[in-house]
This record gives sequence, structure tokens and C-alpha cells, in this order.
Amino acid sequence: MARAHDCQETVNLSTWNPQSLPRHRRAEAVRPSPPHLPVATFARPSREVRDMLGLGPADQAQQKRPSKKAKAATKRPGERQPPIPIVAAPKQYKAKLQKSNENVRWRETSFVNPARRDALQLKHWVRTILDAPAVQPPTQTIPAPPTGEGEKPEAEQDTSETPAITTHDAKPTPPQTDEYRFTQYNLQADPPKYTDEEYSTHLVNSRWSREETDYLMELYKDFYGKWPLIVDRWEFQPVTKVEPGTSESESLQSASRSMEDLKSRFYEISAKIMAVRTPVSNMTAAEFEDHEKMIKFNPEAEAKRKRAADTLQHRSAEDRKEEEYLVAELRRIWNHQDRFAAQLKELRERLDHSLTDDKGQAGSFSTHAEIFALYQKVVANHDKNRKRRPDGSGNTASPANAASGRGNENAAQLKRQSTGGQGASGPSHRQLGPRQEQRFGVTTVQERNTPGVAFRSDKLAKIRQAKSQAQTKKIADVLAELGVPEVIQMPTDSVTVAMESLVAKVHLLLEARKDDTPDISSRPGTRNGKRSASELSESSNTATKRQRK
Amino acid sequence: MSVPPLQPEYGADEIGAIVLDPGYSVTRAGFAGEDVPKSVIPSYYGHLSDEKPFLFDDNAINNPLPGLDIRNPMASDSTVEDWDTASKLWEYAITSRLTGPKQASALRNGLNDPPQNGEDVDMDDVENNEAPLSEKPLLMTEPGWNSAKNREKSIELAMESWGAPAFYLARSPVMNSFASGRPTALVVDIGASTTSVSCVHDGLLLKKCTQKSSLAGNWVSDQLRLIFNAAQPPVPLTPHYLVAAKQQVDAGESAKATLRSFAAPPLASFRRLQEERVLTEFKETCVQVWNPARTPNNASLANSADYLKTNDVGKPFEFPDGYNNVFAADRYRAVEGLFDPAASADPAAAPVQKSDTLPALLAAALAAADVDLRPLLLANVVVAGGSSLIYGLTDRVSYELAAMYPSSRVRIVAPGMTVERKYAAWIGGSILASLGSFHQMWISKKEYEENGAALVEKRCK
Repeated sequence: MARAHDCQETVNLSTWNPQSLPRHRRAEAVRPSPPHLPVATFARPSREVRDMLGLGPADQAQQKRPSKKAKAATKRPGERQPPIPIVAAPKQYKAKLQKSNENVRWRETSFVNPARRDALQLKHWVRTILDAPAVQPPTQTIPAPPTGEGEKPEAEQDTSETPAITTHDAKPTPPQTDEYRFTQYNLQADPPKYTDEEYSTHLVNSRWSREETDYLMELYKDFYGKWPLIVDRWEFQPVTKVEPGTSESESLQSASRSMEDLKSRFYEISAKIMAVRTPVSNMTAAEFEDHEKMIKFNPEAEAKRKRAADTLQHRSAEDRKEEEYLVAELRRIWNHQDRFAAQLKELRERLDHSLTDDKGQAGSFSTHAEIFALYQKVVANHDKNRKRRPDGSGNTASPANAASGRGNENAAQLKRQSTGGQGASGPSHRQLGPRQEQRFGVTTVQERNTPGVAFRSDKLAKIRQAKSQAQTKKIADVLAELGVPEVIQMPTDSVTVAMESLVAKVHLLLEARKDDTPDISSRPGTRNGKRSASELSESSNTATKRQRK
Repeated sequence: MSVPPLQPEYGADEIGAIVLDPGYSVTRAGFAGEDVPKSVIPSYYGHLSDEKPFLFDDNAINNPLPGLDIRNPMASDSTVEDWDTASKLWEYAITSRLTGPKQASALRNGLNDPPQNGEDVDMDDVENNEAPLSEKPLLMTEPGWNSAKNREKSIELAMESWGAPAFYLARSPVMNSFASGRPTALVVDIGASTTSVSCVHDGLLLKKCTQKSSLAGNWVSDQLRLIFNAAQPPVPLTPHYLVAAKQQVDAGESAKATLRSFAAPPLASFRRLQEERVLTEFKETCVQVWNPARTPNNASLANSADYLKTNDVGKPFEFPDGYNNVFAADRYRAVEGLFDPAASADPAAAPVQKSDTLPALLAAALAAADVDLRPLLLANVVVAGGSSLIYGLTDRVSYELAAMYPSSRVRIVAPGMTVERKYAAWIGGSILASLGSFHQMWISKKEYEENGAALVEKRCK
């Protein structure tokens, strides 16, 4: 028995090209087939063509393998390599026809396929050399068991290239005298075999009769262990016993069985027979693995899986889109979570580090100022650890808009800015454009600050102070008059700038008043003074507006 | 189990087998290993009288002889109905162009020897020599639903009447998938009289998946007849043989042709065959399958009248008598019933069952296949058969499958060359019969003699 499908499995039919087959039939009268003709029609005759023409392996020197790069380019994942590689053949001048002096004839010879039991003789065309000494006809050959070695070199050549035009320097292969070369594809499935005794002691199953089990094994062999086919062709007809002794309940279920049912019975038998032949303790690793697999086969789980797969196949396009969307969303959340957790961890590590240094307790930092001092210390520690270079370009971050919507990401940005900007700024350091700077509240402070972190509100408090108490009071009065609150709640960058300019103008005003106190009404400066006061109110308005913003 | 060979090897070994692929409309025969069948003859034959019961081939059946009757040995489901005629027809297909009548040497055939003891001529020997296939193995194709009785008749015919040394009966869905180089495929075969959908797994047919219906090429012709009759004014369908001379007329004008008159005309079946030829031309040039994906909202043909008016200019066609017109929506309607029963030409007079439509066949075949096999089948949908060449059919099949299984990848394998589509089953047989590893599968004459015709059920799975 042979496998109908093995010709499919083992022979790549997609590569089949009818033109590649020599048209033997035109040679009704036996005449020498000019060997150059069929070869020349192929840019690169495959080994099979050479084989059929009996040309033998191509000259090794002329063989040109495609480069690795070319191979990688032509090979697509999951696909077999194309039969004729898509590589441009090097330009060659047409070779001269080289006639060999051998007297070569194509002969129709009959052959016997050793896989057959009936010795059917079929005829095929074989290239023979008439001058060659005594080649016995292939019909007389006795099929020998496959050695497995004769075919190996051929198989290796299969992928190799043959030159565009072959010369006939290479010795033509003698006609096949050994075993028919397609015998190697004759593969059979071997289901477990059991004796009557073994069946009655180990394999009895209430849901399976002996006949049905035998039928299963027979079908397994007939269909080469392909389960879809076995299920498809399952037509077991139980022998209906008409004897009065047997009751109805004894008749076993004969309707179509599911694939899981058949598989579980088959694996059960295989595993048991395996264990009977070789005790589990004596099995090799591979055998044990197979045995385990077969024992663990769970038909219910398998059926459940198939039902799930079925519903999965039938879901609508909308369902599929929604599922894809949800998966993408989930992946995004996971990514975000990972990043956030890493940031948190880093921060904790820093804090823990300084705490252990100080032998202090977190509980002792209750006031804002204490925590601030601790933070400065931590940062200073961290900078010291990283051996900060005093390069002067100390970028400091403004944590101003931590309350905005993308707080976490902003914080990450800021941290990267503040830490990355310090040392030799690696590739992670990114230059922000003016818009982005404004968006993330990043400012580059030009003047030299005190090292460490400073609150911007401190700066605002500082500009209200004057040298003298009285002056300070005067400034406070003017500001109170303009409606600027004592504490500016949102000291953003723009607010600070506006405030600074306002205070500068207040200074100017106070200066002017100091000069013009005697005749405040007679001089035009008063008008100036009044005007500047109105200007001041305008600018204070803008300051408060910005603050509101 | 022995270890399979690692390197897939190209395995042709030609033995000069003959491949025979009988169909309802055309019978194909040729040598295995060739890319197209050498002998393609119509399955229809002419019956003139009891003296001349069989007139084969194109020249004979298209000649309007008096009293010529056109018959077909095949049943409408593409199996053989009239075995005697079928065997003669196939023998003609093989001997006329492939082997030639085998003649024994006149010196040795014994016919010319003087009778020694009365009539002692060894006629057995003569017959063996004259059997048409005495040297060639024969591979025949059969539809997937062929009965066991028919299969046994095939092997009896090949072995006993034709004396073939070896025989094999291959299922045509499997051959279709082989022709496209797929061992596993969902085969959609649309022929002249039958549309079938079958699943092939690893080179063997899954019988329980096989679905068939009669909505095929001839049915499309009938739809066209209905459409032409219902048109205002009706479109005349005059075959070529009736037209003696014709004059040019404007589109839509009635034809001005002088018709031939026959004192003893051929029978109606002859005229029907000739009409069929005109309709075949119409199907080839004008008929198109509607693809809903063309419209923005995937509208069916019934809902796309406006779209067609603005976007489809129609196709002109001139009939043999000179009548010509531009056909726009009608050319879609002729075949739409294959997909949508309500859209067929005349749903009241010639109703179409929903279960016979192609989407229903596809759904039923896939539902019968194993769950794990389905994605593989959908990725290898082989479309074959002469009527599958109707323009736009593969796109529509792809559309329907994608709508049915939106989450699977659907890939249609349909050769662009018409010859490869029309003769797909024959080409698959040609591949199979020239494979070296196949030669152990032949049922040899010896095996047949030992086991009888029932062996075909066991061997040709």
C-alpha cells in the first residue's frame, strides 16, 4: 500500500512545470535526443532536468551559488524557496555546442517499482550509452532494501545551481540499475498492534467494541494517521447480532464519532500498548514524553477548545476591530504603568538613601520647610554622587504646572530635563523648542542662582523688600492700592515677569514722588505721575489677569 | 515509520500514461506530463439514425444534417449515465488524437492466414492487439459524489474493453487542487452542469464536505434565455447555422437577416446546442458578476440600479442575425442568482433554492470541515472550471468568504490563464500520473484479475 498524498507531501508540485518534462513521445523511432536542446531552454536547468536527461551532476567549477544576501532577499518567511532562484545569471557568451563522441540513445525501458507487490512493469525513457560495456536492463534488478546512502548526495545537489549551458564533460549517469528511486517515499503509518490476549486484559472499553477498535486501527493505517480524513470516512457498521441472547442495551453506539472520541481511544490504546511492551520505568526520555502526551489527552478540553475556536472564527468584523482596539489600549496602559512604577521606584530609592544617611525618620519632617530642606539635601547628595561638573549651565526645572492634566508625564519630562541636563548630557537629553518649553513650563535661568532648588514665590517676596522699612511700606501701599494681593497664588513665569516689571515701575514712581514732593501740582511731572499711576494699574491688571489664567 | 526524505524532491517519472477527464460539456484526454490535453472534444454527440448512431467531435455535431439529434451520455450531475456511448466517446477521444487505432501486423494477426481447420483464427489475440490502450496506463477523473457502481464500471471499461495495463480513478476536486500545487484546498469547481465545493486535505477528498448544485454554466445560459425573452422587445436568439445573410442594423433595431430554410431540419436539440454556442460567446464577452465591494456601502445588485446607470456603460453584443444592443444591468442579472436567489432572472418561473447558491455551498462545506482545518482551507481556495471564467467571479467568491469568516485570511488561487482554469482537473491528473512516487498506486491488470472491480474502492480513496 502506498500513500496517495505522499506524492504531494514530498514533492513540491507548485514547482511543477510541464514544459520541463522532455517530450519523449515524439521519439517514436528511437533517435538520439540532442542533449543541448532541452537544456538550453532553461536558464538554469534544475537537477531533475539533468537527471531525466541523464546528464549527471553539473560541473562543480561552474556551479554558482547565490550569495547569502541574494538568498535572504528572495526567501520569504514561511515559503519554500522558488524552484529557480530569482538571481540574475551572470552574462555568459553562448557556449559552443560540444558534441560528445558517445553514442547516446534514449530508450524506452520497462522498470519495476519494488513498492508494488504485483511486479507491474511500466515503461519510461532512459538515456543509454550504446558503446558502454554491457549495461544490464533495469528490469532484471532485484529490489534491495533502501540503504539511505545512495540518495544523499543527490539531495544535497537539489538546492545547488547548475550553469546556464552545460557542457558534456561530465560523465553521463549510467541508466538506473539500482533500486527505483521513488521507493523512499513509500511511507506507511503504523498503528499499535495488539493480540487478543492483550486486548482482553488491557484494552477493553465499555464504549468500544473490539470490531470498532479494529476498524479504527485499520482506518488509521489506510489514511496515514490523518485525523480529518479518518473522521470523514468513518462508516462503521456494527454487525447486528440477531441472536436472542443479546439485549438492545448491549449494542454499542455506532453513529458517527467525533474526532476527540476517536483520538482518545487511539491514544489510550497506544499508551497502554506502549506501557505493556516497555514498562514506564524503562522508557527512554522521548518514549516517556510520548507516553505522557498520550495519557494526558483530554477529549473534553479539546472539544471545548474547538468550540471556542469556532466562535472565534465566526465573530463579526466589528467585534474583531473592537478586540484589536481593546488589546492596543491594554498594551498602552501596561506600558504606562511600567514606566510609572519605574519612576516611583527610583524616587523611593533616592529618598530612602538620604534617610538612612541622616538616620532621621520620615515622620519628623512635618513642616513644609523641613521637607524642602530634606529635598535640597537629597538633591545635593545625588549630585555629589554623580560627580557633577560645575559647567555653569545648571538647568533647573520649574515644577510650576504640576497640576496640569498630564502631570505624570510632565514630571517625567522634567526629571529627565533636570537630571539629564546636569552631567554629560547623553542621548536622552532632548532640546525643547520654545513652544514646548512654554507648554512644559521649562525655563532657562540666565542669572546665576543659589545652588539647589528655589521657589519662585521667594523671588516675588524678595522684590517687595526695599532697603529701608519705610520704602518697603510705601511699595506695599502702592501695591495694595493697585489691588495686588500679598501672596500671589500662582507665580508662573509670566506672572513673575509681569510682577517684576510692575515693581520696577513702582520703584520709578516712588523715586519720582520723592523728587517732586514740594510742588506736586504745579509741575507737569504730576500729570506724568498720574499717568504713570494709571499705567501701573494697567500693568497690574495684566498681572492679575495672567495670574487668573 | 521510516524517516521521510528531508529535501523535497521533484519527482517526475513519465510512463506515457493517458489522462482522461470527462465532463458534461467537454471531454479532455491527453498524455500525462503535458501541460494541456491534446484531445479536447465535446461530450455531446450526434445521433443521425440507427445506422449512424454516433457522430463525434466538433465537425459532426455542428453540421445541420437532416434529422440530426444531439445527445449527451452524461447525467446532469456530471456522472456517466449512458455507459455504452460514453465508452465509445472516450475511445474516440483517445484514439482520434492520441494513440491512433492500434493495428496488428498483417503478417501476424492471423486474419490473412488460410483457414486451417475451419475457423481456427485466434480472435482473442487479435482483439488484444487492437485494444486501444493495450500499452498505456489510464488515469481517469470522477466527480467527488460518484457512486461505487459507477466507479466499478470505469475500471471494468478500462481493463476489459480497453485492455489498459494499469488504471487509477482520481477525484476531480483533488486534481483541481493538485493543478494549483496545493495538497490542502477548498475547491470551487464551476462547470457546465454542476457547481461543486469540496474540501481536500493532504491530497485526499473529505467526502462529508462535498457540496454540489446545478447552478452552473448551463443554468446561466437559461437565465440569459429568460432575460432575453422578457426584454422589450424580446431579444431574438438565432444561431449561426440559420443565418444565410445579414444586414447591419442600429443598436436595438430588429434584425434584417435572411434565414436559411431546411427541407429536413435537424431536431430541436441541435438548435439548442447551437444557441448554447451563441450564449457561450455572450457569457464570455458580456456577463459579469456583481461585486458589492464596488459601491461605497456594499450594495447588492438590486439596490445598485442608480450606481449602474451612472458608472456602468454596458457592453455591446451582436447576435449572429445582426441584432445588436448594449447590455448594462442584464449582464449582471444573468449570474446574480448564483449568489442571491431573489436576484435571479425570473424568481417566480425558475426559482432558485437558497441552499443551491454558491455562498450556501461554501458555508456548508466549511461548516462540515474540522475547526482546525478551516483557516488552512480559507487560505487555499482553488477556483476552477470553465464557468468560473465569468468575469469577476473570483472577486465575488473572495468577498463572500470574507463576509462569512471576517477574522480569517482568505486567499483565492485562480490561475489567470483560461486554459489552466478550464482544464484544471486534467492538468492535476497529468501531474499525478507523471509522478514517480505515484506509480505504486496504479491498479494493475493482475491486481484487477485477482481482486475484482471492488479494489477500486479500496485503492482510489
